[in-house]
Amino acid sequence: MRSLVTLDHIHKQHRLGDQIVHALLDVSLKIDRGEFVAIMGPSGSGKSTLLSILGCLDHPSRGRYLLDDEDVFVQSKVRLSELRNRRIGFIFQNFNLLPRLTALENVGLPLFYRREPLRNPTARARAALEQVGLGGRMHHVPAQLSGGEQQRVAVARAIVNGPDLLLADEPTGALDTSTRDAILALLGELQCAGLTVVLVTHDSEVAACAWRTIRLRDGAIVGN
Amino acid sequence: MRTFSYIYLAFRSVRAHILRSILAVTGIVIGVAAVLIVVAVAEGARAEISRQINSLGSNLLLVQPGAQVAQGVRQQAGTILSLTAGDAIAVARGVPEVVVAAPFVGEQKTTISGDLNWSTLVAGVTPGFFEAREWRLAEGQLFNDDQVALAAKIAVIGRTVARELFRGSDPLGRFVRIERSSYLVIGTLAEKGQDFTGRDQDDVMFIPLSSARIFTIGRSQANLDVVHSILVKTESAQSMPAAETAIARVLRQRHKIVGRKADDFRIQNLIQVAQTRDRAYRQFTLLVSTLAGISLLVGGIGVMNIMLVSVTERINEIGIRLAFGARPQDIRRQFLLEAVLLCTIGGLLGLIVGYACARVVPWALGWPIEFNEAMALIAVACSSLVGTVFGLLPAERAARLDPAVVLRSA
Ligand SMILES: Nc1ncnc2c1ncn2[C@@H]1O[C@H](COP(=O)(O)OP(=O)(O)O)[C@@H](O)[C@H]1O
Ligand SMILES: [Mg+2]
Repeated sequence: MRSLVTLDHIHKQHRLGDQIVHALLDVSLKIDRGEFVAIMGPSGSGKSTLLSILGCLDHPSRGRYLLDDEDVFVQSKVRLSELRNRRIGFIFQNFNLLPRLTALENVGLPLFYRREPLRNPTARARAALEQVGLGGRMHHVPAQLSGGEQQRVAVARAIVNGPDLLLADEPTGALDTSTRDAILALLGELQCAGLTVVLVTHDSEVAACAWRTIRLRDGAIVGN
Repeated sequence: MRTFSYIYLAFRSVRAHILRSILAVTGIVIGVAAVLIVVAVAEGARAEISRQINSLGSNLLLVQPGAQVAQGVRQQAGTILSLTAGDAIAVARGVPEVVVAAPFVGEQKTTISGDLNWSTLVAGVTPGFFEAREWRLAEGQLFNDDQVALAAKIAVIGRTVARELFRGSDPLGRFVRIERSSYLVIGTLAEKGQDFTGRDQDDVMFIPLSSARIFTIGRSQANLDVVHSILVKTESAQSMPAAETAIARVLRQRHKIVGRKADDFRIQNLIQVAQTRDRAYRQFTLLVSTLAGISLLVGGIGVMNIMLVSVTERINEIGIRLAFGARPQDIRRQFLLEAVLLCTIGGLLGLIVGYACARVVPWALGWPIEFNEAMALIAVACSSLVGTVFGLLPAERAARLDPAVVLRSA
């Protein structure tokens, strides 16, 4: 069977004035369906860059990205947004919820942008919130929620459209240990339910939950 | 359905920054309000003119004596008294298009009744004059040709004179004295209001032309037949130009003016005079509306400014939306709709402000106004259009943003 994710010789460089910063240097990797992968590495090693390329948020400077059989970066912007909408769920370290929307509305965001709208998107969003254990907080805005609760809302938003790939960039970085463990348990559950999870962390305890750890240094893979 | 969701989204966003939104649309509000106030005042003036045109009577030509030339300078019309009652009769007989040719003499006189006096226009006319000017009786009767022939000392008075001389008591059967002659009031006239020069048309007292010539007006003049003007009513508006030429021909013949010699009279189309004023008002309205419309454009630039700031401020929101599947066109639509909504709200606020201010004008300045619904609609539609045009650039900016911005912001 084909891997869910195939990265072929991915390079990413940023130009800072007349200086070129290499965020990723010739990264190749495969991730199979249903895996739980952790990406580790020191700060500035390119973890977030790698994850944003996996999430179709950023373009590599060179290289190829296959999601199933689809060559991602030859696609149109519209197709990329559809991939982000339906196949990929993203979780950020700082939650990135829309501050004026309630938890339910935040979770409904990917449903709002679905090409084929659901008949009852609210029910779907509610179900996702219940799945992350926040059934009782639906009409709270982010400011009324704790960090752990906000991250749960973010997880619900990431999975509401039934993606294949769940990407989390230091999802527990801003949380204390007990909420961290709760979020990790939640991700573990989702992975058991069939989701492929890729998690960036610099916390080895977090990485221990994963089946496999990819280590980055200065933009290159140094351990897999 | 999705459009509704976007409108709702835009509405929430506008409401979330209510003060900023209000400041952004101030220009639009002022622009729309200005257009509506100007148009209301100008339309009010035009409605007044149209009322005055109607009160004038239709298809009227006014024949006045020509101007004397003194040392090469043309004097005021009527400085030579070239017209006679005979001319009026000749015009009525000689020009088939003419329905009535009514001779007129008039002078400002002090009228007295009991211990009240009032200075008014005393006019000597024939019954045809009432027909031409479409004067309606309020009470009593008009004088007839026999009474004119007999130089009866009778009068028909306008409403203002009735009010000033009789103060609410019935003028019919009472006498009005002018110098040494007393006239019996046999009729009062229905109100006409101001004419297009602003003169109170009801401030008038009509007496038979003959009586006026003999007892009251211009007694010092040698020729009792001289009149100050002749009012001509033609059978239709179309026949007015032909009538004008024919009248001129008759009068030139009677006044023995031949060849290239100038007329000693002047023929004016009164409706045309009023219509010229109306046209001037219309052009004025157009000009000022255009200026106000420009302030709408300036308002649009204000909205664009705020929207551009808003896009920069909301980069994180845009990034989040992009990260969860918004297409560039979805973002564009969101921001465009927001600009349109802002401007439409501005337009509606302008409508309210403009309407309120326009209502104050008659009360504060005494000008009549006429609120124009079509113009109100157009103004609001224009502000929506302004929103579309000036929303394009900010919306395009927002739509061009890269989803990767979500990683760097916040
Ligand atoms: N937009 C950018 N412009 C310039 N340099 C960047 C940009 N984004 C990332 N980088 C650089 O790329 C490298 C990798 O960054 P990142 O992927 O965020 O690392 P990590 O998430 O592992 O801390 C860093 O050196 C960072 O400074
Ligand atoms: Mg990072």
